[in-house]
Amino acid sequence: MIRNDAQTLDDLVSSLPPGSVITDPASMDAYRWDRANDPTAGVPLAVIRVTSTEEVQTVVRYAAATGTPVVPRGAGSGLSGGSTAVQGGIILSLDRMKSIEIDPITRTAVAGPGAFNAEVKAAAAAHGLWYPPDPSSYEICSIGGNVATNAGGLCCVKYGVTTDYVLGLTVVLSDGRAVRLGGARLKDVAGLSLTKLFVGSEGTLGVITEVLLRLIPEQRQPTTLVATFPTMDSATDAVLAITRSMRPSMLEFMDRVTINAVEDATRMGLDRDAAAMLIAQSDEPAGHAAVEIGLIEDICNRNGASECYSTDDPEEGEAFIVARRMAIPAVEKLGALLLEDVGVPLPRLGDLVSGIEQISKNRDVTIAVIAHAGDGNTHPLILLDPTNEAQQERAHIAYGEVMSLAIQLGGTITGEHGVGRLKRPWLAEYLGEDVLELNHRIKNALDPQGILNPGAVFEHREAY
Amino acid sequence: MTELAVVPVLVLLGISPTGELATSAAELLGAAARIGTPVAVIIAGPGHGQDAATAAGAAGAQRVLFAETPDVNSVLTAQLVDGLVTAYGRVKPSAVLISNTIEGRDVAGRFAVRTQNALAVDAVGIDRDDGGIIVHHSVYGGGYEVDSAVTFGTPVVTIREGGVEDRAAAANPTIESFECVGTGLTAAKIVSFTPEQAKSSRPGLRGATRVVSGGRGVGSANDFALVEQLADVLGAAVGASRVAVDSGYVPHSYQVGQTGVCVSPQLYIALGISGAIQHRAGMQTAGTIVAINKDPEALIFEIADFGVVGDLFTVVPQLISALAAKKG
Amino acid sequence: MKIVVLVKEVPDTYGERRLNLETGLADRDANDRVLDEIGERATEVAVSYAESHPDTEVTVLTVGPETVPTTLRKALAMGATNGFHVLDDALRGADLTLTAEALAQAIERIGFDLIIAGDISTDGTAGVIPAMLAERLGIAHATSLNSLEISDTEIAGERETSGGTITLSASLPAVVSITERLPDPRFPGFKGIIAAKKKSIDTVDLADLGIDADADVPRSIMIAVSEKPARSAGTKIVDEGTAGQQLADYLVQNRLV
Repeated sequence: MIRNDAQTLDDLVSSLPPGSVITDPASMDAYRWDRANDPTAGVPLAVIRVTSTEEVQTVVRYAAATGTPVVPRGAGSGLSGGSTAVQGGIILSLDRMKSIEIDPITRTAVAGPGAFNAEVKAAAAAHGLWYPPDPSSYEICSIGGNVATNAGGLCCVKYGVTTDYVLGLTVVLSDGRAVRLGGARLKDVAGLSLTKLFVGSEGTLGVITEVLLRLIPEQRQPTTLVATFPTMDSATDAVLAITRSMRPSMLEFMDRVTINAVEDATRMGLDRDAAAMLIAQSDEPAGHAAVEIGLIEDICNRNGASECYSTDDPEEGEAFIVARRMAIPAVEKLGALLLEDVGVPLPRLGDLVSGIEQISKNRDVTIAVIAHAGDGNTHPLILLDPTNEAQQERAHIAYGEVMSLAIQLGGTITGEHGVGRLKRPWLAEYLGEDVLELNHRIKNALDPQGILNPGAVFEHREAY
Repeated sequence: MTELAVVPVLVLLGISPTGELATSAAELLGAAARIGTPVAVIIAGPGHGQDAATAAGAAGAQRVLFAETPDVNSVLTAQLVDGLVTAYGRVKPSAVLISNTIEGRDVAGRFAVRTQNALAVDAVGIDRDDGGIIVHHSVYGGGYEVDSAVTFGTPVVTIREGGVEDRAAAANPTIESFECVGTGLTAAKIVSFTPEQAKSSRPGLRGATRVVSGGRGVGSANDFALVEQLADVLGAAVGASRVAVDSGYVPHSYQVGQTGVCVSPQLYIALGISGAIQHRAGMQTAGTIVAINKDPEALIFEIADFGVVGDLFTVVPQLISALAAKKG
Repeated sequence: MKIVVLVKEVPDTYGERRLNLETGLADRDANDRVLDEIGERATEVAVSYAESHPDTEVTVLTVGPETVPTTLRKALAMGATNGFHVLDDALRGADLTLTAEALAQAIERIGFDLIIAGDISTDGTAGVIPAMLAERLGIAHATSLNSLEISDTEIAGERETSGGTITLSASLPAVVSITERLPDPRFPGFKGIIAAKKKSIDTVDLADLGIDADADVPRSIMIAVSEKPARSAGTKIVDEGTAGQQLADYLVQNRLV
């Protein structure tokens, strides 16, 4: 029950530095949506741009006292509507908290949640260090959002996802207390693993105000291979054979629809008849990388690859992976996109791709599939025609069917984007009754009033 | 200073196929008057020379040399270079000024080579000091100001359209006609001329010197016409934010930013664009950024050289009529 | 047919480009060096012609520093036959006269039926080199073409002029420059990327071309360079009925219209 009024909001405004609170409706527009462009976004009570943990505490205490919903927000690059504005709630924008400090001795970074992923990478690189997680949006997404969604990326197949680099967090709890979890140590088993609990919690359990990240020595220059396959089975067999025996630093997959879209956009001479293309990289030391890529080449050829090219020249490697980098922009040229993010165990990758092809036929919508093939995380790109309502409805049905298919195949409805509000209706089907109830118990224990990002991940209720 | 006034500066004035002086005449003669006595050269189609010469006087030419030749409608550039070389021989000017248009650049390039003079291009100003003539340039999207000079000889200078504000007082010129003797060098032929359609083709986004972009604040595909109208007044390319593209106001090819086109124009006008980082990545190297947005907190204002908090549907029409009045 | 394509290594416009305030030259460390996009487009024109005319040889020619071969590889990967690089310290900060002389001599050396350039580079923005080359080589020019047709003996195309569009034609040999209206350049394919490594790039200096950079001819030189103040929020006004007028004044005062 929201109990705020003009007077209480004025009190909040006066307890924060000038310029922190935005209430002008036009000004708030820029904070109502993330990249999911959720049409059901509400009009917030206020947007508050905080600069410190203390200010976050002030805002959350106010929210707790008045029952006001709080939607934490970073750079707004989310794809699942995790930071869509809630009617009458507060948008708590952490975009100004951009500090980054690198400690080369412990090989850690302390970053504000508003710092961009690319800025953390650059700060680490200045010390010869590397922060590996590399979501495709790394130049425009913030670390706070990366932690809140446990973001992944291309190199995760070898180097793991965001949570593998989070050593500690400062979190403001739903009653306004701030806690520090974890610390600059790799081993720490004292108490429950609470740091990890908050990673991927999408702002539903607390507000992350500082992140302690693990860094590793900088990556070596990669050796790169591309291969095209005449059939889907030959490609997925090659993926399985590769992942069974080695750990490439990148193993990406594109289906025929994607290959053709990329060829339309680049005219780089891709084989339009190929069923699939794989792009692999090895960042092992020079000699080893050549051996590893050589083995991958053998596997591709044994599985019937129609073409296979490799290079140890980093610039040429960059030119090779343009094909993958162009995938989403190329498909986007065909229309607006519903970006899926389902994952399956690797042996079911072929079934997933052929199942998606079937859904695409049944619903008469174009679906292009790209995948982080090495980890089974796929991004079916469902084309949407903004001018055709019937087509949009079919596309949304397909969107749900792809998730149901992933669940049937023992997979997940989201690998790295998060549940947010867009995927919430499928969460129960994926988790099952008992696990969903366990989720609710934890949510209820940490946020008994249900004020933290209500409607994201879980259905909003007064109590769970 | 008295000495300066008699130093002739040769100015090549462009002529339209229907015989009118190009609008750049005023600024070219204005720039010339700043460094000496403006002497105009006009190469016109038959019957157009005298009127154009009179018009050149009104725009500030103290002396006009004109030639008439039917070649202007059938041969590309050659007769302009030939004529300019003849006039150059007669006048012995201290500088030669040419408008920095497609045609002007072609003439300047050939003329500089043929007369063995040094070339300074895309000037936004010109001055003279004890050492000689100094040419001002604005480079890297307006990020730097550079001055250049020639070691000796007669500088051949192309002047950016709209680049200089100087105007010369109207004069009553001596007008001479001369014969444009062709050198007969190989030249491209003009096969045909198609007058501009009512709906002009705008410059493309990439490489445009001016860009006008619209965002969410424009509101609809229909209202995007206002963005296009301002662009046409400025001779600018039309761009859009991602939201405007996603909302179907304009095609994807208009998108400026991270996933669209990166531009670096001299002038970027953002209409109803909030200035998300994705958009800024594609335009923040512009020379001058102007933003109009009703949201005073819009991020775009953080990088705007000139920001207007207001309704673009009142501000832009007023801007268009004010610009029209100034051009008048 | 022998086609020479003029390309240029320029600072990437994606980042903030910087001039060294001491030398007035581009600060090479400030940006990635890339092949100018309009030169890639010119390469595309030549390469797509060569695809349908197997006897065509496409040479990409550039004047530039030691880093050039790396960027030139991209044009070779797109399908150009070979590269030609004029490398000489005396060309650092060279004016248009010396640059045109070097290019013209190189083109004579390579041999040519058609020379294709972009209309304007993103860094120098001069747009005069094609006409200067045509004058030096004694051949026709057709610049800033929005369309281009190439036959065995001539070229034809359209360009904008005051008040309309003109259609041009010229007999070969000729120099043309093209605008961004021509098709987007292709991205290099895998086969092309691998093949580019084995293609030859001739490197010559001014002496090889018989050019004396110190010859007693007029040169254009830079005498001062200054930086406009860093970008920050400028004037911000709230419309009270005259903002459109004020904005027009601002644009005029700053020579932006």
